[in-house]
Amino acid sequence: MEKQNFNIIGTRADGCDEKDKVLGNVVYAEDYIMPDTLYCKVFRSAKASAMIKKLNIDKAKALDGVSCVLTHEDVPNNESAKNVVGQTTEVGLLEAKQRILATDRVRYYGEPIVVVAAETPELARDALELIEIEYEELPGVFDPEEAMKPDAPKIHGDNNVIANWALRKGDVEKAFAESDVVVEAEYRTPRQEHAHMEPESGLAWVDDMGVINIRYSTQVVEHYRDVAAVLGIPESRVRTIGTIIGGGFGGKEDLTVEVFLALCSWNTKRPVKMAFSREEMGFGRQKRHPYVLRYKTGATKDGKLTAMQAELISDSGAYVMLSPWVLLYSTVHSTGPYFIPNVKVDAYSVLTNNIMTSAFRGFGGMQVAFAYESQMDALAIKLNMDPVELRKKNFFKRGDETANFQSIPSEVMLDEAVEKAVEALGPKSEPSGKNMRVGRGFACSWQSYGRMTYLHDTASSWVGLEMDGSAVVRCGIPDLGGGQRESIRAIAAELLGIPLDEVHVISTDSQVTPLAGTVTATRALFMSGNATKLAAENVREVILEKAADMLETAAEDLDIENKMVYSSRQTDKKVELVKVIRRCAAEGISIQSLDTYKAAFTDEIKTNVIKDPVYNDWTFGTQAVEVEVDTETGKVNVLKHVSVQDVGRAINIKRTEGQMEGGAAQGLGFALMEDYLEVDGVPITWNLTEYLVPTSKDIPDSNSIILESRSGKGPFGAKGIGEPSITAAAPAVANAIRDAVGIKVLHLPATPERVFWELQKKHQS
Amino acid sequence: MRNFRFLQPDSVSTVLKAKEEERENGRILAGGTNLLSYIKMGRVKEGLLIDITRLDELKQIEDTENEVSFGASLTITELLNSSVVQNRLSYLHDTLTHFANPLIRNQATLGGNIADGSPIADTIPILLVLDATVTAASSKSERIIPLKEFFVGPGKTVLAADELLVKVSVPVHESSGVKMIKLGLRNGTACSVTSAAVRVEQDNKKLREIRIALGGVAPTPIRAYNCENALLDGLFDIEAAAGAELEALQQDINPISDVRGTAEYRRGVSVNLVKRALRSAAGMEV
Ligand SMILES: Cc1cc2nc3c(=O)[nH]c(=O)nc-3n(C[C@H](O)[C@H](O)[C@H](O)COP(=O)(O)OP(=O)(O)OC[C@H]3O[C@@H](n4cnc5c(N)ncnc54)[C@H](O)[C@@H]3O)c2cc1C
Repeated sequence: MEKQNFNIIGTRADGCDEKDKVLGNVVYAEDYIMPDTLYCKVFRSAKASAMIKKLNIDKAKALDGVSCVLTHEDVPNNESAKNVVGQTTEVGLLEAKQRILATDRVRYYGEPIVVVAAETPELARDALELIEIEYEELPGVFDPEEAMKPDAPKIHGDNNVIANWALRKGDVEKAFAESDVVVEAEYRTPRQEHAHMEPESGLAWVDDMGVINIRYSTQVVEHYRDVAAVLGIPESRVRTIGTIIGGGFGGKEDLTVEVFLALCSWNTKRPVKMAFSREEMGFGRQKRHPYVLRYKTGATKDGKLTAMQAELISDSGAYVMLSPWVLLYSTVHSTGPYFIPNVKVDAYSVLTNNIMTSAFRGFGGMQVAFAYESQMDALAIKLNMDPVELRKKNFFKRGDETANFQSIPSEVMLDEAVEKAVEALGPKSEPSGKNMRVGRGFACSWQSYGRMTYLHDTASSWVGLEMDGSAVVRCGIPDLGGGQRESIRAIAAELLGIPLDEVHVISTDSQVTPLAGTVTATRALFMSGNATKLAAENVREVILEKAADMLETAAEDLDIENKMVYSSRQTDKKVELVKVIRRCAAEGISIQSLDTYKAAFTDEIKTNVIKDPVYNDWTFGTQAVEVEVDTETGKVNVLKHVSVQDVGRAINIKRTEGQMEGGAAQGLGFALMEDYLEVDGVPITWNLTEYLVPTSKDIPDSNSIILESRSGKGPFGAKGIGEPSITAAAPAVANAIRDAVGIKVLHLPATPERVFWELQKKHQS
Repeated sequence: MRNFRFLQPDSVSTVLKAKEEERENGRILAGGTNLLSYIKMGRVKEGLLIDITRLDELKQIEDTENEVSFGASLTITELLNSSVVQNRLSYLHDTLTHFANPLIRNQATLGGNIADGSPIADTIPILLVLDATVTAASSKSERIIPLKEFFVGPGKTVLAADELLVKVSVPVHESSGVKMIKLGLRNGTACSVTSAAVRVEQDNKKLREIRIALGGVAPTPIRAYNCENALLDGLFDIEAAAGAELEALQQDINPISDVRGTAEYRRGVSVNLVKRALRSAAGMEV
């Protein structure tokens, strides 16, 4: 019988590392050190598109204290082996795979060319300065729409379009013709940088059994397979060990430092350490895809959506990385959480000589949310209808069919969410000056949680009781900072009826912890939580059955709390957990269990038009903001922010709020200031002086309201919240700016300058 | 390759002797919030780093009837905490609260902000409207330089290779209204896109004296002389001044386009900043 009364789940219980994080006591990947450690640095391209005419590493090699200087010639398999990182299932092959080190051509500014390891970081830096390189520049292409033209320079092969997805439902032509109102607009979104506090970092060493150990900050433990493939050695001889992560947001989903570390330690047989510099985090790693989105949406005069047509174009940078999957995500989510009878979407991801783009919290969901929710407000204005009412008429209901013909499997609590969000803004603030204008906006979103179902996602977990009634969980899920480790700890403790601090979780060691997949795609709680729940329930069942024996009662009547097994029917029937464990041990009954949770499995997508289910389920939510616009400078201040999300079930309230607040802050940054700018592929915002993320002075205290439909596919009805928390922030801000000063915000971020010129235009017309 | 030496002198005269010997190669290290980033970026690769942060001589505040003087090594936090700044130069206090963030303010010095020669250094526009002067010393002599004559170009000042900036003197204008406004692209820790400071002396609602200074609109921080004169020549009353179009300002400024904004935006927005600063300095509704 599934446990119903909870002591730990749904509380605000502290985790084991929160206080230490505040005090600076947590040991992060970069803090690890071993005797005789070398320091590794990467020499990167200073051109966005060029042939390498000459590369001379002799002087670098000759420098005293330099242990190895490696080029592509030293990399056994130089193309990253798989298209989908950390994935056991291989899906469709694509060209444009990332090179570990550039061969004769560089395709973006910052592309790795040489890797060095030296006795000190300073010597490694000096060695980089001694590398001589000559380039011959090639024509580059920096705008995805230019890159789609037949005569555009090609980045790889003969076509820059590396992915194309579509939706076809009903007849949009006819539906637009019959619509009472139609709104149309073109939207643009920025190239957002993950800007996590902890840079990519780690330490690698070859142990006395010839295994490469890599202890580093990653979202994907299974990258050991990629490392093995690059080095051409068995997967069993690469071991990855995770650490507490200081933020990732998708930035640590693709390969980062692990291959460089492995190459250098394999070559020198010494421990090697590396951490990206902040600048390298800028120009050396992927970002969020900038999109151009052309939307046309129609409705009847009483506010029923009739049709939606969209063209989505994403800039995938110079290598494929996860661009096709991000684009797929955008395509399916492009309708918003609305039932629309006629839909036509065409989406393209296009190679350019810009910095690569890949996974980032939201995974293609944010760009389309900005467009579909701006469209909804535009429709409301045109229909002269309350934007809340308009949305309520169109929200999906449980069981409705999406535009990829998938039925919504869980509750859609958007009516409640939008009402609560708007209400929670409270009374409207007074402007702080005579040229200030206050406005309000909100936006609704949907985000799937869990990986795409054709990837056949699984997660395993092991739970075992000790003789004193404490427990150990082994589950290969890195803690990204969201408390992933803490959630499975809570689940095991709850089901086994033991205090939180008597459960220890070993969370990431590829050769010790059962593989549980990536901490990406808002899947960690859903997958590893379910796996741990299965394993803990198996152990619980053994205990309850043995206790039923001992108490001469039925196992169904028994529960465990505070290490006591008791009957809910007869109060005198109880026995200490420890006694049951001892009995099991005496009788040779195992009180350990390894189990595997399987998500929904579907067939591989074979056509560009998506006509089949792709996702497990969705999280729905609303964000509302109040902004003040300075009409003299164009600067926008967020005065209030509310996020309401149906998380299905909050395993821990505090950490759920943490995700909602953090997602909102990152979403507000995307809305107002974050954009990684390049001029002809050369970055101009590669440090945190110019690449601006919101500070505590830019973000108001956020009000996070948790709804719990208990209808999700995660443990105890949980849905996911990591990504959904970010999505609706930007369109809420755009709608609020329009409310304040009557301008359309079509191009994010809404920087002071953009708002200033829109205000001038409005003034003149 | 980097090649640095380090000197922690115990007196200003040792600093000046080192500067005399090393000249450009002797690099004054105050808070290091600029210098260390130049080193990290590889813009500065060698030299003698002369740490002046421990010299009490450069940390003094002299409070006289007409003028307050600040030692060059005072940090922004020390200025914010100084009762003289809070009471006699409250507008300077207000300006400094928008400087960077608490961590940087604990480190950054007033002398470093001025000597660095950045067109967007945030203490400059307000010091310009206050008619501040700086004192430069070498082992041979000392001279007083009006701040408005101090800047030559981006990162360039009139300081000679053997000179140290030792003191900043700020006249106290008891009857003036003063306001500086900084426009950054976010609220905390932002470089200025443009900044404007205004000081007005009014007499029965008539404008008697006006100083306007801006940052981020020219190769150096500037005084807007054309704009000042246009306002005074018009013998405006204060209301009219605040409502004026300030067309003359466009002759004072010569902004560039960069990562933080276009030249056109700086032209447009600096007018609005000056107007707002003027309204505030004149005690009108902002
Ligand atoms: C994150 C961050 C945020 C910032 N925000 C702001 C901001 O909001 N506003 C702003 O104006 N600035 C800002 N800055 C820039 C910097 O902090 C300031 O300009 C600061 O005042 C510099 O002072 P310092 O003592 O650190 O100078 P240093 O870096 O030590 O020196 C700067 C330069 O001046 C020279 N120098 C220093 N003192 C003297 C002296 N007494 N005589 C002669 N030469 C001297 C040095 O040799 C060097 O060339 C910021 C910097 C950072 C890193």
